[in-house]
Amino acid sequence: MQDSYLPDKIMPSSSKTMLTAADQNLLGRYKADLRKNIRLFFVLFFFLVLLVLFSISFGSYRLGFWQIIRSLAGLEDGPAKIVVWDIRMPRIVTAVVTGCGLGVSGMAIQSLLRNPLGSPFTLGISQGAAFGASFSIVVLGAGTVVPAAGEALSGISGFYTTTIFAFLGAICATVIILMLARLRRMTPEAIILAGVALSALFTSGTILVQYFATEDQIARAIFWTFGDVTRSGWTEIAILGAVTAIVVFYYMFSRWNFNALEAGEEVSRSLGVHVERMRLVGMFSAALVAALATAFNGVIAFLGLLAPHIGRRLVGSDYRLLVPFSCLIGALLLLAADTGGRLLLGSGTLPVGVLTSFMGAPLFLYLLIKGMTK
Amino acid sequence: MILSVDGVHFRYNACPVLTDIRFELPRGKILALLGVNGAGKSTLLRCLAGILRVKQGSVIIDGKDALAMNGNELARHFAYVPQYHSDAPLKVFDMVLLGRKPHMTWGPSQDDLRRVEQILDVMGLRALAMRRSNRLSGGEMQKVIMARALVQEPQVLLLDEPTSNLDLRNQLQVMDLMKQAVGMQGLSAVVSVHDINLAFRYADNFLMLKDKTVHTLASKQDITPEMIKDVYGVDVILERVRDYKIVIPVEAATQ
Repeated sequence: MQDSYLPDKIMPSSSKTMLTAADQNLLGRYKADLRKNIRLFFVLFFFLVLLVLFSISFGSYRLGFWQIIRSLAGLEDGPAKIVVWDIRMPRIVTAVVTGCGLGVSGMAIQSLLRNPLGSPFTLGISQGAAFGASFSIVVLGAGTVVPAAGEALSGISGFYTTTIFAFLGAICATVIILMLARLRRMTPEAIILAGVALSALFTSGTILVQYFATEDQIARAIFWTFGDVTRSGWTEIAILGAVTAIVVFYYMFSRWNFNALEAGEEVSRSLGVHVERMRLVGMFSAALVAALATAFNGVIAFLGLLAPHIGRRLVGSDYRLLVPFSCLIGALLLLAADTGGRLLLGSGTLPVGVLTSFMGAPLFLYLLIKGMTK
Repeated sequence: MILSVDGVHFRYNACPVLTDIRFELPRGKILALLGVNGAGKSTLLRCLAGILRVKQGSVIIDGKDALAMNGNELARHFAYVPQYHSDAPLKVFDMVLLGRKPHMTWGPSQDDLRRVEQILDVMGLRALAMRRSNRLSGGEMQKVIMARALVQEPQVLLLDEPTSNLDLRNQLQVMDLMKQAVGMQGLSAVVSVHDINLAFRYADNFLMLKDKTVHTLASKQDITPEMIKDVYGVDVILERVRDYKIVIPVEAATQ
């Protein structure tokens, strides 16, 4: 095709607006707009770094700024190093990685189901995990030690059984949703309703299991459901981090397919997107991240709903930007919530899942009132 | 011939929607797709666009087998303009840029961006470029979608009722755009329309669908009132006013 295939005007301009000087250099404006958003990303990233540093410094063991920097660089020995690397960093990195994962997973679910209310929590994936965890604790007697607040749990017998069953519960919920979506060709609204039904089913299953449990088991099961970022050790962080990184890369690779999907399913198909395959792979990877995050940390509600919506408000629906922004905002929100929880309770700890619910529920209502516009 | 369709059948589950569709489209011509509601016009366009998979028959575009092409390859030959538009909150520029997706490897090149700018200019959409496309009027949106299809640089444009929600002025503008793009870019187009008068005004050839198959394939000079009556079940008068051939419906035929 020749380059200049059309004359200057084959149509009289239909728009009533006069061209301003800024309109003249359209490409420049377009790129400036993109650059502005990339700058915003780095500003937010800088905030995240500040928040991480603040979060490291905060706690009963006082750490100076340079002590923190030296510890992070591996130049500090003794208690400062232990406090930073063994106590505070695992919690902080867990919050960052889990926030990233839940944020991007919610973004993908919302896009792929073309529904602004999609998230791991609203589809019943989190409730499936909670059921799996309760089942393993009550029926299989997993977890002989009641987890103490702030205690790193990896290695304690039963923790992995609970984690694995939580993961299985989450995957089970995912498979049911995917099958309904695929086999019955359900509308996005119907899928969300199915998610509600599935949540209710898993929740009643959890209650049923807990009815037959001892007090000690109930305590453990309920404690498990409080989403909390203190349970993961470096192994869990590495697993979740690796999976999240792969999934984020895949979404970034598919960003133009996500953009095309915004223009409608048929249009994206006519542009060469394999919508079914994209939906299946995309949903499965979103669910995998959510399932792992929930299995390791318990139920952290609404974060997957909240992060992508804030992202959309900031940068619109361009997935070149929305994928990284959903990650970053998820990480910021979760770390802010966790740090906020620590600040509120002084030396103790408030499960971060409680705080995210407090942030998320009002947003959910706000979206309903706004007519569910994306 | 840019497009040859032969013996195409399509069924939704067990229910046949198209049977034995055959037609040819010469390069640079506009084919109007006519027929009553449910005659299979949209289905035929979707089959050509690769949205629906054709399992029987052959579609040859520019000498190549369209049914053997992958998605991107097909999208470089056919550009599809759907009947309903989503309310995507993408920027107009990004919306049009989607048309370059079948040509991209990792992301848009400088050339892709320039082509988008060029087409926005040509269609008088420059001032809207940075707006979110869900804030546009119906006419503006239709032009944005057309721009997306044109920047795709296809061989054949497939338009499903491009004028159905537009006022008179926008109808003419959109159809003029199509006609001029066909002329300038050396494209061909298949357009489904309800308004037979628009078809007479803009199309070269008529493909009339009835009972899931081709009823008439003819150049527009050869269309008779009897054909229209047979397809639509309406008695019509075919008149010439100045340079325009127009159809005047008289009454719904009782059959």
